[in-house]
Amino acid sequence: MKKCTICLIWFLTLLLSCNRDNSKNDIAIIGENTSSLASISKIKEQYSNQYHIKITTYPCEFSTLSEKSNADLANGGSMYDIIMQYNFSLSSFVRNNYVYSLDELKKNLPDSLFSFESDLFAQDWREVGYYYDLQKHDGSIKQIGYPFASNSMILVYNKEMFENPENRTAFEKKYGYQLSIPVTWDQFVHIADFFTSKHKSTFGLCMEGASSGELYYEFVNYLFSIGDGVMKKKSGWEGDENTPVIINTENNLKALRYYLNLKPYNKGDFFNVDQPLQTKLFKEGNVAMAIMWSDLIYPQIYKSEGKEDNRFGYATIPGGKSILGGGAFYINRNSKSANESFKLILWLLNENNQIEMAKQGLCSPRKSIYENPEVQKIPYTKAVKASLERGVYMAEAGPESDKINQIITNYVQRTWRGEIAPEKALESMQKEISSARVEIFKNIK
Amino acid sequence: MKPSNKLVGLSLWKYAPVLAIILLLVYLLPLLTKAGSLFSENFKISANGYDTTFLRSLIFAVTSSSLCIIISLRIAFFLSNIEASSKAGKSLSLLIVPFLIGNTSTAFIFKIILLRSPLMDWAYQSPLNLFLILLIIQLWQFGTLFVYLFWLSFKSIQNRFGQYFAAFRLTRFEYFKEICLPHSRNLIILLTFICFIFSFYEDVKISLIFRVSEGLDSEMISHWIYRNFHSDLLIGYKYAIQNTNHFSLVTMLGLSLSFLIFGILFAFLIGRPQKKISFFTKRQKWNYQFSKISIVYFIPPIIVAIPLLSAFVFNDIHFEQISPLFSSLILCIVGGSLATICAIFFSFSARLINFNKMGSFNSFSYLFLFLLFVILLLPPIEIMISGYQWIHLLNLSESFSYIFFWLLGHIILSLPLLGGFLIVTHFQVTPNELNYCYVHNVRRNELFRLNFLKKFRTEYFLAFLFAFTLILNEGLLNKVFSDRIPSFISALNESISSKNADYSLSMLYYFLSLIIALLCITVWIRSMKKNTNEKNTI
Repeated sequence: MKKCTICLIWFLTLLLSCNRDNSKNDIAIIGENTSSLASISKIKEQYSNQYHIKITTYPCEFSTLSEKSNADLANGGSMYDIIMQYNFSLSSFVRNNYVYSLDELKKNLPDSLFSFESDLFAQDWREVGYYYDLQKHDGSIKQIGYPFASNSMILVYNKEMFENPENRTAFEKKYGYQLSIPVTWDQFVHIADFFTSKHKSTFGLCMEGASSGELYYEFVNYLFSIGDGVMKKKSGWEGDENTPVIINTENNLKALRYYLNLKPYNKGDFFNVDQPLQTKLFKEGNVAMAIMWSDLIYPQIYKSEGKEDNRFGYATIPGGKSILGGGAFYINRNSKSANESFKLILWLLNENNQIEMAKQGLCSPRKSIYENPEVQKIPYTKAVKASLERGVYMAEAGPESDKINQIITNYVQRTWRGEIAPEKALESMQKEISSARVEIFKNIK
Repeated sequence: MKPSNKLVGLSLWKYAPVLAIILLLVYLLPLLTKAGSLFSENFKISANGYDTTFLRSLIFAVTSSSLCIIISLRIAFFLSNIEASSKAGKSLSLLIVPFLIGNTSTAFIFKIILLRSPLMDWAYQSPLNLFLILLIIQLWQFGTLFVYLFWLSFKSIQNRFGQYFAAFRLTRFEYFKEICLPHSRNLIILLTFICFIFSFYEDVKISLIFRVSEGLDSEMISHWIYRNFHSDLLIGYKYAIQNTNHFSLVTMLGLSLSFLIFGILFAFLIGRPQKKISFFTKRQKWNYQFSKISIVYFIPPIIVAIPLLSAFVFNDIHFEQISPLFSSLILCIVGGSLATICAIFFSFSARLINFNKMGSFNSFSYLFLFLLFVILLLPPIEIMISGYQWIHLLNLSESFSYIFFWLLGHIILSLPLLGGFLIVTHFQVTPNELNYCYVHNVRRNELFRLNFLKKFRTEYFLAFLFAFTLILNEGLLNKVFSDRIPSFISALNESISSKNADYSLSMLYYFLSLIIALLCITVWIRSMKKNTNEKNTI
């Protein structure tokens, strides 16, 4: 009994010693392990030296980021002051009052500090940093966070294959027009066909077919550009139980068939091709084109292994629309350093720092950064800027977004396998998305 | 006077198993407190595909565990002619490597190999093909370990049995059936259960290699629960936890039931009364002498080595990218030692609960082991969520507290495997030995030193090696605590699947895990040799 008491006292003492003494001079940032967070890590020392505030960054894998940040926020914790998260978390963060809105943070600060706002890509900011003002019940919206990056998906192509004179002559002979970067989806399929050799030594495309969102985010480019999309709305986070689902349409059927027709030109086993594998296969040099997220280009293509790789070119994807993506800085409502965190965000968003970060792989949310001569030397700059300027909502970001992502992935994979017909797939998607949305919105209420 | 079935000593140690269960319940407390709202009326749960996924996991677990045991028994028996001290005997230690390098490294090797082979394309043609490949990987990872353990078990059979069977000119099959099988019965049951549970909750390999999904009909239960947890997080954290708890509970109950049915069936098959052998009618020979070393005996280690080495052919390693993970390795050694010590004392006290009933597999010991294995029956995601909940409940931030809870968590998580292994090992201590000590008032410390520590030193060392690699390669707690404790496995996982994935970095981590595994084996061989020498001296 004596031993037991001693053990208990020892254990309790240890627990008490574990209490957190969170200093206001510490800021913890959690985000996905991408070029966006990496670029912050590279300049954070400057801020620490200047303001004597310790900044710790916690780069995580995508799913770990959701687990850790949600666990902290939901339990009223303050382990992470700034959460760099994507827009599908907006709904949950705002509905549960986990994070500050910008209005709250801006109080007592001079307007001059926010002059950069007009320089942000407006539509992308709306996509990643706005949400309904839930106190008003009239559908009005408010600003929740500033974007940490503005991303889109761009076309990456093999310059050598496109510039080869023999290829150019042969292509013109076959299709009756010059080989160039595809602007229409018809040209895209012609080029994919042209570069796919009979013996599969070269390929037209490398598509992502993995199930953790990779297939979905690539597929919506076709669905919204050729077809009608999933729902009629302006932003991914918009909508309620009454928003009509429009996935089962003729145009979407056309888009799905077009997508399935690309199968013979694809390199890789499709179902296991995620972002790292896609870039790995693409860099082998025998693939003509691939559609990739812009924040992936710097670490995986342009500066992979620390060396400049100039074998590839970059352009907007065919069709007239591009996807809007990226994420926002959300400030934890329980943070003991909320004001300091906000000041850090403002510092990160200033022009000089954005230029510095853009040179480290950030796809800046500020338009003017893309005009900087140093940044323009980065080969994908123009393509990213053009994509953001014409960007529209394509990716769902409401509370039902992951379910929609899963349902679409499930049926596209089944059609790719030839298990079900495209018509049946769209019909099932329509039915399942509609019923999932009813259930989710019921649970939210 | 025959004081059987009595307890030795009065200390708290006899309550250790109960304490372990209480610790587990305390660990899960943050989740259990929310259990009341599991079935509230306005909380509708979507269960698309749950039944199919559960059934798929169950079929895979039964197939995988049965095949791993049957094939490894057969191979181990084939290898039983090899002398432990021979070159072939030493090379057999390589068979532990696939288990020692862990799930993530195994997944990485096979991902690299399959990417370059037409097998991947074949795997995606049908879910059956995919599971066949996964089965082969399971065989490579667990089957090889089982071969080694069975081989060790067969080697521990006293020579006189071999001589006896040879003298009566019995067949090899009879020797296997009448001597080897009963001798290894406990080990077979234990390994079957372990393989069954690991296969049922298989996630890392199938996810990293094949990127399983609903659309491929290849999803298993861990992935299903995890996928739905992430979907539900967007609705709300509490909602996600309630949903996950619900399905975890259902899965755990379903698995417990299947586990019991499978266990009873398997124990029945293994423990059937043996037919009487008619010694004089059989004329075929059993040769107990060690045969000449044949090249065939090197095939199993070669099968293990091929995938391990192939990875180096397909990828470069960039040594300059190594980040300092030495603190992680040191912590793993500390954790491994603590976990082994706890498991030794746990299994020692368990052996003393009842001299007879805890001395073999019977309904009492089955129930005891089942309670112990409850930790393994928990869906992995529950362990992860509980970890996050505790961090926030205690508002941890200091490195010291992180290390403390990290160690505590690993001790609890590794207890079923280590404790189970050692409890079954301690079956070798007979009730008579214990009764003798009891009658002569042998102190508990002396009893442990003479009847356990001296006897099972090698097994304890093997348990330490398992503990060390289990902690090093464990994916859940290491992930939960990765903000403060640099984790080898989290870094490897990130290098394979994050947006900043870099296979040359993965190769480096894999290379390190291989080096660690080989070092463990070298130490293991030396320990075996030392132990054999000591026994010979005695």
